[in-house]
Amino acid sequence: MKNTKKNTVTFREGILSVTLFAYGSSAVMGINLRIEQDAWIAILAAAVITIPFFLIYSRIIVLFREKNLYEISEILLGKIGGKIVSALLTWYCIHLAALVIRNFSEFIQISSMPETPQIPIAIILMLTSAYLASSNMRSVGKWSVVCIFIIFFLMIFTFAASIKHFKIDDILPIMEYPLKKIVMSSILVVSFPYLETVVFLCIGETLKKDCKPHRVHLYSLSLMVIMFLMVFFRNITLLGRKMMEISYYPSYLTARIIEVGGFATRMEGSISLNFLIGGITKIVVCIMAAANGLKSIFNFANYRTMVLPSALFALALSTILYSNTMEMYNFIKYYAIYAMPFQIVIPIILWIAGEIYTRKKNKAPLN
Amino acid sequence: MNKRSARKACFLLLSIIICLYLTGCWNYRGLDQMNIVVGIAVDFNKAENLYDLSFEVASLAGANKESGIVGRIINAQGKTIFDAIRNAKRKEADKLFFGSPHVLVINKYLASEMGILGVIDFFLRDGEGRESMCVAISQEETAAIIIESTEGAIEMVSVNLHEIMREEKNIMGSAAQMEMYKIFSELSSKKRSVLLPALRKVKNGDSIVSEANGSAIIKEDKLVGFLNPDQSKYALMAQGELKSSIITLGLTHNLANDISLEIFKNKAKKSYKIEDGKIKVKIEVENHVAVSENQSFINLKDEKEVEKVEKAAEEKINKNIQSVVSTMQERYNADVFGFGEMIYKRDLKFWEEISERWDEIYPTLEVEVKSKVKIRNTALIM
Repeated sequence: MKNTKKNTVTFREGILSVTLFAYGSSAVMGINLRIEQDAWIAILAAAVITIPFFLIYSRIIVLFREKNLYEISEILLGKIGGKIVSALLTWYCIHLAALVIRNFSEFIQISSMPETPQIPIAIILMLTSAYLASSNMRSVGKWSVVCIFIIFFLMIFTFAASIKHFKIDDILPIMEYPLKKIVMSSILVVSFPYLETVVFLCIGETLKKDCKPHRVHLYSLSLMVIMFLMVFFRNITLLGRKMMEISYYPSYLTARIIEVGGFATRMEGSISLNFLIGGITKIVVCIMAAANGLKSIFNFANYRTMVLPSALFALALSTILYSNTMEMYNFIKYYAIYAMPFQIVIPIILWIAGEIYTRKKNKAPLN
Repeated sequence: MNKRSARKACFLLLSIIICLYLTGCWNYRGLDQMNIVVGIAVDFNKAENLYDLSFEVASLAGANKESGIVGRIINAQGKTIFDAIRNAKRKEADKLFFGSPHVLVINKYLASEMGILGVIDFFLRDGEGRESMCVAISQEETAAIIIESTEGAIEMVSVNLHEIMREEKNIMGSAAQMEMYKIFSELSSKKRSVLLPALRKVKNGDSIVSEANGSAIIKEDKLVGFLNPDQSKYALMAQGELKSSIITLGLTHNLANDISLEIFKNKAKKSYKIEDGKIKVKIEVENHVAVSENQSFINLKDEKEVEKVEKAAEEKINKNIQSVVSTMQERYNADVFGFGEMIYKRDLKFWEEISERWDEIYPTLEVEVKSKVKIRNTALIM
């Protein structure tokens, strides 16, 4: 009991860890939506679409303070129904961790170590993340506070380098692509990365009792939007739209060509570090959430026992996910559909059931 | 030793061990095992259907304080560019390292028949290569001759050429240096043509050296012609990309020109309007200059005289830009000024209507050039 009390994050740590989580693999993959200069519209539109869902997520936390999504589903859907939902969510967390591990091992292989197999890289990533995950959420919160400053520093630095080249011509013409395509792209952004933060609900018990969850969500959403817009404007200014369009890792390419005053050149090393920090955070949170899920499915006392197994599962999964890089990029198209049940359907069902449950509970003593 | 310090010692020991492992790579190569490529020349051998590549590598072996690092040429042939690069390994003990090539010189026949995007694809795709490499077109029979060093050369030719091309834009403005990733972006965008530096060999004192000689016009990734240094200067000026340059004027009846104006600031704005179904493009160029040579001692304290010089300079710029623009329109039909792109960005619907016929429309555009010259000062003396 004492342990769980200590294992909480403050308001600020909450915001920053959610932001860092969302920044994770999106930063390395780039917000590449195949709509060239119109991507910024999609990023903004996606944020607007995301707001109601974030409010639902927050409401769930408010309804069931200091409970995670697994516990909530057991309360609302009964033992068996709850366990089924928990199993689904756990699968999603593990799969997401595997996806991120794969993104990064692909990135490292393509960008800097073409002859090194992916598995050693993935193992190192996995071990680091498992170590961090087996400490507690409080450590992740503190880690986010430190890391976000490194990320922000580098981002502002590179953004500043691009600002003098920026011309309004770079994002003209506005709305070249049909509205339908832009909306489809923004749905992609909604599912990856904005709504992936559903994973945080699975460790929802860790938010301090006095924090308002909707503020955590909305603050981090605005931070994400600012970051993604900065990344987008930087990349399109420096790379040009076609080059941005065809590159797998536009931010990485941008870092390669950035030159600040002749001395700060070849910054791809620092930018890769930047990616990795975000990626590790994402993997850590996913593994923690998965371990938490396994804990409630099998009624363990502590989630820590399941950290390494879930991490190993994610590692194994990551090696068989795709047969090549192109497949990885093609999967993004279907991801929105695949993730819908976990990101939208389950939370909405739990939210509605939760509202009914609490109304009933509040009425009961009066009668 | 208590438990705490034992833990500390353990921690320290582990950190050191981890450091040892993390600094190594899977495929470690030392500096002495690499041939660092500084310049690449691409030719195509039509008779055998093979790419003929020459690499200038920095040979570190003979480097010492007096002589510095000199370049050495490696030749290789292959069915594709990467094939040729790997074939080079047959002659060399060490693998070529593409971490810092400075220039990529492309043969003019290759550029005009097969296009340049195919060539730069490999270098953009490869993780080792640099997107910021400079691309140039050789005006000689082969590209290889450009990077070949001549006797008495004290530096690597490619490094030298890179510096020349970089500085051209800042000092003479007669060649348009452009990085590889930009070339890709520009050429893929709406019917745009670009200018790339052209290189040739000339006699300089006792030796024959490579020099930048104007620009090559690349239309839809194929070479269509060359501009001489003076024309390229005005082409750059019309795009506002000139960092510095000289304009000479002959005002009094002399044999030679007698006034030099040094450009300090060059701005350009292009706009268009549609009148009676015809597109009219307007280029407004503004130059801030200083008088740096005044051989006939025109009295520049007099405002009227200053105005006269400014007018003369404006006229010269108007005339020259106009002539470059019409050469581009009539002779090469190459949209290097990005008129098409301008219309696409400002008025998408209209562009979609005309983009199919752009190649026919472009030569018939009415282009108006309006330049403004402002003399800042007359340097140290009046």
